[in-house]
Amino acid sequence: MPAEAGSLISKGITVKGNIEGTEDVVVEGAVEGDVVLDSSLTVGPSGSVKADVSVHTLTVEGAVEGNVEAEDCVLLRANSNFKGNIKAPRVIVESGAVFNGGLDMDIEVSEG
Amino acid sequence: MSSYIGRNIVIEGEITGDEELTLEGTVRGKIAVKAALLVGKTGSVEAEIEAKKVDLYGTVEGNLTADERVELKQGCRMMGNITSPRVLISDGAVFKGKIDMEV
Amino acid sequence: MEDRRTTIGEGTIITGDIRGEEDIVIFGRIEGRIDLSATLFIEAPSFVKGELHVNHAVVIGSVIGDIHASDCIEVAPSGRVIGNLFTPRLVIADGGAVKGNITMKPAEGKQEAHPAERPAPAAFKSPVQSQKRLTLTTAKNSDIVSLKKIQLHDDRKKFGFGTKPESIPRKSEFKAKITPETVQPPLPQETSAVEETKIEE
Repeated sequence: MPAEAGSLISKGITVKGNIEGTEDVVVEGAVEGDVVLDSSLTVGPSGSVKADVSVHTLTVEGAVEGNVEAEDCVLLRANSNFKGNIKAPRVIVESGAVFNGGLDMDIEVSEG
Repeated sequence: MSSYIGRNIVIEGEITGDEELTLEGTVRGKIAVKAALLVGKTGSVEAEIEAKKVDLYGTVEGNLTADERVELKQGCRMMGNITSPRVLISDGAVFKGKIDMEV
Repeated sequence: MEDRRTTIGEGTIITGDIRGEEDIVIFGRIEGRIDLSATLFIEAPSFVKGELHVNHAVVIGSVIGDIHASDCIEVAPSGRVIGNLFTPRLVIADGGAVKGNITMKPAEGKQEAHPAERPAPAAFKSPVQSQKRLTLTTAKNSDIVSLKKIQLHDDRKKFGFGTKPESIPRKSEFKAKITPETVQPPLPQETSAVEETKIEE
């Protein structure tokens, strides 16, 4: 939860539209649209995001459906549900998370 | 390091390497290791074998070539030709094939 | 001979198929298909190329190929997988890398519904809740409201948020914390304030 800075879309709120910004956003309600942030997006346990997401970091505790591009890290916590593609340099999936989709991380495997 | 293939494992293909290999499972294909090979009692090999030295307690069907020595232990079954400078066949070993010790 | 785990040493290469019912630990190199009704440990610096069908896979080294697990796939920080994963449970540690498609069946009792289905119906059921939604959607419930178009600066003052006096809230200054508790029951003019046409004073 953000302290002073940052925004919260709380549980009873639905946003249909795009969210852009340079501050952290926590979604505990529903978002349908695109999310573009220089900062972090957190989808709380009751949150649901049906959107294409382009952020610095993404933490999912609820549900996300869409394509995600993160500059730093995507974290899928236990009980989260992700459907879509993720492109990020770091991805952490905790036991219990459900993920269906593509994962595109920078890999070099030398067949040496 | 060494390799160990347990009795509940079946490998169909080629095993190559430069470290000791102990087989308790089943191998069909080819084995070429630059170290000692031990075929345990439950080991079953249907393959051409090349090794530095071989200790056989189990079953081999195929030709066997060793750089140093081959030992057929009691209770083993060897069906194939042996090429090795030294060969030791224990009482109770079953062997059908040719031996060539001129290396 | 002691009871040991099946181990493919670092200096061993197997080209072919491996089947089995006991755990295998791989330090070497495998090219081929592995069918194991047990746990497969792919250690570093090992390299496995082929299709894997296992109960449980622990990837600490590198895998090129699809992994089908009936129980769980774990990718350690040094693990690398280029291939598709099919598993009911997945753990990817920080540092682990995967490139491919991931297919997981939802676990029992966990949320499975499509995201859009879940929160919206509940939010619109109670009359109290229907007032809360008006801060971000119009009273007429029209479809698209873009947050950046909402001129909340005056509203925020009324609702007691800390505000900056700029006339147009830029994206970076959108500091409002909008929660049901801070929303007053909207007066007609506030309702219409969120419609685009009525924004200018």
